[in-house]
Amino acid sequence: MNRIEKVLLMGNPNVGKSVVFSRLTGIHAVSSNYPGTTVDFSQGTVQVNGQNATLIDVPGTYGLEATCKAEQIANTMLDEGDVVVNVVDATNLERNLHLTLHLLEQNIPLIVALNIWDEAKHKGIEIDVAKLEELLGVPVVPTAAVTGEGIKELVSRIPEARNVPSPRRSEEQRWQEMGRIVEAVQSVEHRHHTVLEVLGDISVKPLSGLPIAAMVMVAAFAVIRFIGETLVGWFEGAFEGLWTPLMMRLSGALGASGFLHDIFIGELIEGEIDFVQSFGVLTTGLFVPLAMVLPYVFSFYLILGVLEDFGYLPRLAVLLDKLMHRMGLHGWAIIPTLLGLGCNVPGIMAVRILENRRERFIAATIISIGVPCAALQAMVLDQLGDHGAMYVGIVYVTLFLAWVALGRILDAVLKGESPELLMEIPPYRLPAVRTLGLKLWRRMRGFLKEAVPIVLLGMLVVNVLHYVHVFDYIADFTAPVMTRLFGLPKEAIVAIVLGFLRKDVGVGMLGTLGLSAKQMVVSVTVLAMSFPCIATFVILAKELGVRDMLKSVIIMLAAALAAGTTLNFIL
Amino acid sequence: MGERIPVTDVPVGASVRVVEVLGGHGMRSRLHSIGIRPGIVVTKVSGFPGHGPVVLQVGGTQTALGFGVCSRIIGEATL
Repeated sequence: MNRIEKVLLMGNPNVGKSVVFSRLTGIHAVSSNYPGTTVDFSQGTVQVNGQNATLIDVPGTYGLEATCKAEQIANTMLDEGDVVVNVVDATNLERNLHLTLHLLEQNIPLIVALNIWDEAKHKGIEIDVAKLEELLGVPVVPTAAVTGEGIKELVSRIPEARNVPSPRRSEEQRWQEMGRIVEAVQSVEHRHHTVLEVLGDISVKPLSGLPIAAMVMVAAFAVIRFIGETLVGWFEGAFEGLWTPLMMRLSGALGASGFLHDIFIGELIEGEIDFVQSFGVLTTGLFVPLAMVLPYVFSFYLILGVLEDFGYLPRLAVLLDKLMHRMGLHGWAIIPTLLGLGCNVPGIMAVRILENRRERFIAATIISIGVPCAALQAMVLDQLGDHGAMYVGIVYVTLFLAWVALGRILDAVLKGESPELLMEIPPYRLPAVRTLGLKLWRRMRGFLKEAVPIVLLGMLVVNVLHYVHVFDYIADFTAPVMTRLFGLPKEAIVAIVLGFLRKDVGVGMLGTLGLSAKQMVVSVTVLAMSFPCIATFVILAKELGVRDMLKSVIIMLAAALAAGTTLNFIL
Repeated sequence: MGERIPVTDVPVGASVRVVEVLGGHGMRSRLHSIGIRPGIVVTKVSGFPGHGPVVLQVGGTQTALGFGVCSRIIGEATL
């Protein structure tokens, strides 16, 4: 056989391709227990015959008819690959064979990974692997990617992949062939429903599912809050015990005032460093992302990861399908929305799973307006929580109402219809700690690498501009809106502009202005709804195109103006 | 031969044999690829009131479908 340079990993959606991918390459592709996690293809390196080959994780497809974008991509990639590793869900052999038969008809060597093998055994499904090999004419290796079982054998047998000349079949012939193969190789032992299956069924029925969804959401929020708050306490302690002495020494060395001191240490409050109020690059600039936001990013993604890997999100999508339809979307759109609660950037990237441009526009716009990211929420909980839970509640309710109202308005205004739901619901699975941990680590690392530098840079720029009094001009210019419409001091504009870099820093700045509870509610809401932060901005332009992104921004500004003014006059 | 009814009218918990899938080629092939085609048995797991989504058990998989799509799947009672 010739040298293998490109290996394609192909299979139906949600058969664990991404887990196989990360096992083969050591690269940790994000996987979740719902179809469509891999919207883009990712690639890595795998050793075949002691030589490096490129492994490409192709988006999941059911067939090769090019009826949707993923299938078109898969078709194009087929021309470039040398070998296909077809990942097949052993618990669902018959339907998965549809793609396998399609692949056999192509002119490319094939090897089958019979994945989720462990779960198939548990379910009482027996598959005669030798017989399946014989009938398909290509190597078949049972694997359980989550535990790593069978992966070594799979790699070592990639060179054995064969191209069996088989005639092009009609769709009808394929289904007959699939039935024949399954009949010959599979036997299913009858057994009772497992607890997880019963739980799965009751959580997609309206009468039992909605109360379950409400409980899951409340519990998730409570646990995120609890873990977040506990960690914030620890991190605050660590900062005060370890960092404060060092910074005080630096402050002394810089002479307790002056340009450098103002920028790096910030303003001393009664002779002491106040990590929230001082606003220096090395004080507040490190404290906000690391001690106040990071704990919440961690606890949010931990809980989201558990819900994702357990398989709850597709069920939530079914339950909320009706509500989402009123906003021109279908239930699927809840998944980008929940991702947006962590960070708007992955949330908006995930709108790609929606079918058409109209849906993607609506979803991206209402996410960037009405869905506060974890960093923003952490700061709001901290800064507004002191005034009372009621005020935090007002912010959340306002954002939720804005999210629904804008969705409904956009649905009414934009031409076109919302497509219907067509989604596979995976079985509930107990999350594997390793996969969960890797995913959490990847998301945390993303935050540390991308958010922290922007926070530091933002603080630096703001402090320099502040020092040279640039903000005074802006504040005078926007004063009418700030004071008359929003009832805020004119300096609040600085925080809102700062929110363009990072929302969490924006809220931190508001905390230094000595606002009343009501003013805090108004300004935080305006901050959350107005301009997306710069990272979201970039991703909006990328996903929607510049024109639609500008439209989206105009909607944001109008919505923020309306919400801020309304809150100011009714509170 | 049993009565032909759209799967949306099948009571929750009941199974029917699919006899026909109405609609254009695109819709039919999408349903085909997820295993919904004439001859197979589907079980209705859940249905939401007010033309809400329907969840079907097809072989080892559950699939959620919008009401409109599901009403185009015609089934016949199994014995």
